[in-house]
Amino acid sequence: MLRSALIILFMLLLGSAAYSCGQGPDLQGRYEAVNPQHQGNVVVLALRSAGKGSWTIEGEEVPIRWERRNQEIWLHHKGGAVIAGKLVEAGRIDVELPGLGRFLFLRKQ
Amino acid sequence: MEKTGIPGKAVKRPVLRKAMTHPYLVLAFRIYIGSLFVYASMYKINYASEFAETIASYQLVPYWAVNLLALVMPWMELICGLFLVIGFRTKSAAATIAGLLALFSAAVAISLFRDLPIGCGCFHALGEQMSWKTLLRDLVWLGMAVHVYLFDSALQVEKRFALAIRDI
Repeated sequence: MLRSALIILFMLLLGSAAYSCGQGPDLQGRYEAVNPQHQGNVVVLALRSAGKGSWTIEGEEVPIRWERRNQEIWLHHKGGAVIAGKLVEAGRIDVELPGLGRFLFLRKQ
Repeated sequence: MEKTGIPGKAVKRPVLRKAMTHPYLVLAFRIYIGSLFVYASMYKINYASEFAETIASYQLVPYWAVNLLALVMPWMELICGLFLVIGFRTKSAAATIAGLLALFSAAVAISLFRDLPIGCGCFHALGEQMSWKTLLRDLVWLGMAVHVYLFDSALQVEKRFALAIRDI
């Protein structure tokens, strides 16, 4: 019985490890989008390893954490905000921000 | 058939009750509810600030308690969920989880009556929109937790330990 409890615990740990490794390396890189409110102004989304990254708008860089969820990418701000972006195709992320408009990020690096 | 203690007399337990209180059914409920709470806690522990936003959106908790709850509740979910899965202190874990589910159900019901346009936040910050279905689901889970509290008997680690200690 103890053995079966340990097996269940091991499977749970395995599951949590799989959960934490949700970020695929294929999404990492530097993405750029045109700010829909200020044409010519470029917004940069940097997706780095271990789910870390940053969002740079008008020279201000905000650290974020990111994770892939099926055909979506979730961008988490440490203040509690979370944005879901759609993975349209390889190298393209579509992010709709309420009140700001639609940002279509294209991979640059 | 169950013995009554009176020679020649036996009481028939209703089949449905017998099936509902079968140790393996209760064990299935216990593992299901335990895994569910472990899964639900992971996102909340990882993104505590988002869970704090979710709690605040219900507009039920005083502002000074929001962050405290956002930090404490997911760990309670994780520990009680793990206890249910491995079969350790299952009555206490089931009672705590039933209490949490009663709290969630009440919060969801109040928000539905107040017509708040918020997500449930049960598993993720960007989860499904709250509806009566959410409340029904929570009540079903509450029923399962109470069931585990009342009838759990199979695969309990602490019983095994108690026997081992008695043997020593």
